[in-house]
Amino acid sequence: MRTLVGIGASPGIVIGKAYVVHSESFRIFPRRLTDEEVEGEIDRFKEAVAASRQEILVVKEAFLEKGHSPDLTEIFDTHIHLLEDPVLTDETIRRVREEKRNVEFIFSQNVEAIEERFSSVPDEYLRQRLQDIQAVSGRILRKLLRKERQSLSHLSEKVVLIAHDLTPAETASMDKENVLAFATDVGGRTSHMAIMAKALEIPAVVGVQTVTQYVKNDDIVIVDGLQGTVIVAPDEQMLNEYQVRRERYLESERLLTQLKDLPAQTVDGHIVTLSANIDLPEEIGSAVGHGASGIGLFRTEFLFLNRTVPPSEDEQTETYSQAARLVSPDPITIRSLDIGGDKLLGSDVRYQEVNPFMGCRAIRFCLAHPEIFKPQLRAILRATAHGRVRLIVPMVTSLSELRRAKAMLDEARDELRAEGIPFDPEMPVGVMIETPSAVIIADVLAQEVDFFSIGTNDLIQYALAVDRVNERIAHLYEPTHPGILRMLKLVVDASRKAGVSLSICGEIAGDLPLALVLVGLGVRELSMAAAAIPEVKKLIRSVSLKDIERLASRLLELSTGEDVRAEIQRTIAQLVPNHKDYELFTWART
Amino acid sequence: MRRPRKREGYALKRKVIVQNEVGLHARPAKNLVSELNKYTSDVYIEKDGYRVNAKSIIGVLTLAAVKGTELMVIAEGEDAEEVLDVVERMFKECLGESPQVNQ
Repeated sequence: MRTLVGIGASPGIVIGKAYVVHSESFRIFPRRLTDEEVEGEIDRFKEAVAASRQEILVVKEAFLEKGHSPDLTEIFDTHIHLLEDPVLTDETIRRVREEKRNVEFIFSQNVEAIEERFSSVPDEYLRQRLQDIQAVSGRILRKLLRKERQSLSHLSEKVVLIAHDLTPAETASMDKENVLAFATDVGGRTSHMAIMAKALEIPAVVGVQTVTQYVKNDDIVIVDGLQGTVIVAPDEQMLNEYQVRRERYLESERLLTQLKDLPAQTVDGHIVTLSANIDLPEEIGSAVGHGASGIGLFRTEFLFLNRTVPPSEDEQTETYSQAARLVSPDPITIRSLDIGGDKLLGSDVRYQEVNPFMGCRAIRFCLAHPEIFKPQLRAILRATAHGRVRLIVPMVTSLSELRRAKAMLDEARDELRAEGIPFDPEMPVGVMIETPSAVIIADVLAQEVDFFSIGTNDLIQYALAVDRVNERIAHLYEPTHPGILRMLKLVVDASRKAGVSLSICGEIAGDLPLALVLVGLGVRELSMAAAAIPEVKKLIRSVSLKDIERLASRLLELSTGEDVRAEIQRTIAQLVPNHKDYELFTWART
Repeated sequence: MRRPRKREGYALKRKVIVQNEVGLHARPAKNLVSELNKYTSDVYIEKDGYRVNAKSIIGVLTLAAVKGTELMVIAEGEDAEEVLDVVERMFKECLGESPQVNQ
């Protein structure tokens, strides 16, 4: 048994038989051409290019016909451009004429030269373009060699696909009936594979790095798209554990249908709003399907990543407006850009910081770059014409920062007004409470905002000074730390006193026992990954507010994280009879 | 596609400097390449003795030219002069990526 860790790209848990898509290594030998053969060889090449182009177009059309967004197909156009690039085509044809050798040989030499050149490029973003070139040249080469790649659209049994890499075309044409899940060596959360897997609802883990090394055909593998792990040849205990997890996941999917239209209401009649966190407008369908009442957090970073120039105001307006329309009549909270220059520009050395977590990121970065911030604010304002849009500003540490952000927003409003562009002047504005200073001055911030949202992931890291990615101290990341509970209480009290609404959008909102604690502390809106909503809803519907309020006040009296966890566990065992079904404290397991 | 015959010895050169904040990345490179493909001249770009076909996006990307890089553009053909003027102007205008993000 071996557990491989990657990136959860598309949710779901699958146990199945592996089918390995072998990386291609073609054996190509040089062969001399007679003068008569040369033009025929060149025609063969042109046909291979034309056929490749045709195939890509077919996949693109089929994908669009399934109702997927045209944004997802931009990659196919890029590939078609590359197919026609003179360095690939003209250069190959020229050399076939000159050197009189078979076209496969010349072409693969040509591609190798390009690969070599790219591998020495210092820029990570540009190096990644090499993957596109390889996808395209591999396709041409297969045509020339009359070797079809193992087809993924006509698999005859249900398998878990294991591959080094999948081209966008391959991912897009997967048959959901037979591809139970997939795992790849390469790829990130925002790779084309990941985006398409999500759209197709195929569980996937990408970026595993060594998955093709460790998996053989017909191995039993577990793909956990929720945690981003692949377990190869699991032992019995692991298999049993995962069968339970899989059941739980499926159960939560089943709960959906039962609970979808029911409110998250405690037995004594108090309603909690459960909303979803998303990165892409494409995820809204699934969020609504899981019973989300609105989007509590729309992260906008995705729009800005993997590109060198920020999206234009118009492009952003379109994305935000589309999202607002899809969620309407429920509200959507759009968070302004929450990254630093390092990520935004991918390559630019000048933006690298020793400690980016405490560096120029989020609102700090935005205030320093009005040329990026202002268009985003204008775009968010413009989206208010299409639904109930709220703006939230991340990483605020002081009132001055908030004021500067609001001043920028005022400028954006004035401009739009002067230009006669419609928007809602009353758009609610909130701050993320995710730094210890914001917690302490929550009463002050509350005077100048419409709502708060606590970003617990960052708040816990900053408050406990723990980087959870650092294995040596990851165990110190403790949402049940009494310091954290007291902070939450402070914010709840400040928001109540000032009459601003409060939600929580960290991971702990979707953690079953902690969700109860948060409601007990007085939070009435929880925003979480859509998949967590049904179980949280079921749990809330099984308890009374009175009981969990008592629990919360008992917890505030305790002195250690261990005591807090023990008390929660004890209470849940009493309040929720089938508590064993619940996986307690998911954060502690990873 | 066959290009018209070039006039012998009609190769013109001009220096340009990359002004784009992020260097010669995918989008600016694409803008340059698609503009150049409107002309019949052969166009090359040289950086430290490394020469690429300026009508190829792959070629231009492998230059990995960051802001401030000096490049030599070479055009050969009937419209070489015109091509160099266009290239010079495009580099000055950041290859269609205006420094202001807001358009």
